Amino acid sequence: MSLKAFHILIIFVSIVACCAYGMWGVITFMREGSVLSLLSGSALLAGGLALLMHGVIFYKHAEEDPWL
Amino acid sequence: MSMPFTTEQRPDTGLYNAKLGMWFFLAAEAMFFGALFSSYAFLRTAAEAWPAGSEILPVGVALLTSVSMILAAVFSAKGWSDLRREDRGRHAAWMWGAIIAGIVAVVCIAIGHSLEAREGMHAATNTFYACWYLITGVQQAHVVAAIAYTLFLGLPGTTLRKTDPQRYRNRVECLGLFWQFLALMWIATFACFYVF
Repeated sequence: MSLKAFHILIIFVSIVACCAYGMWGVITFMREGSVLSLLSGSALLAGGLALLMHGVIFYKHAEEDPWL
Repeated sequence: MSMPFTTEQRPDTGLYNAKLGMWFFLAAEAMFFGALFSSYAFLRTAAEAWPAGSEILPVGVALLTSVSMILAAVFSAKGWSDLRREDRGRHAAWMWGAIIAGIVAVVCIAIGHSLEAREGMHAATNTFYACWYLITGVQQAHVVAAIAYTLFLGLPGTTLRKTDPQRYRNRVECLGLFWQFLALMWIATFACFYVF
């Protein structure tokens, strides 16, 4: 397995984790009204989106280089 | 006589020597962490009561550690792909970014330990804290090793970049694999102690 494949796997796991923990934060806010949970949940969801964008760009660049 | 496959890929495996060695190392590391996590699971299922990590541990510090570890993995991969494109300036910037992200992760783990120790919660307090201090401490030691190797490649390793660029690129790829592995292990640690 190359670094490209391993990195894409890490990005996928990180996106899943960000979405899960982000949703957890939002649900905690809805249940308990904790603003900190909402902020951290929103930051994690935004982080998941940023990672998705990075993953797509990295994959496109990697496609152009046969070694990657 | 030169050793074969030090820089070029072996046709049947698609690997060069260093990458094969790195995968053997990561396989050994996976077994090591697997032993730690399975011991944790065994102790947890055998315990009559187990505290909720999200209620007693500093979650904010752990979240910052997670972000730093993922960033270190991203930066090391970006550094390698820019090195492949011969963009040495950006490669160096990404590698320094990985080092800084790694240092932030190490500091955050240390802050987490010190916060708990200040509240009188030590490894000897109970099994939960023993597992937490051990697994996060092992993670911290591994991140320190990754930082040291990244620094080595960035400082004395630059000579290799001039004399044998392909070999240098291969070493950066192997280093990137190690950073990815550490990020994956931290995500597993976070899920074990802070979520479930």
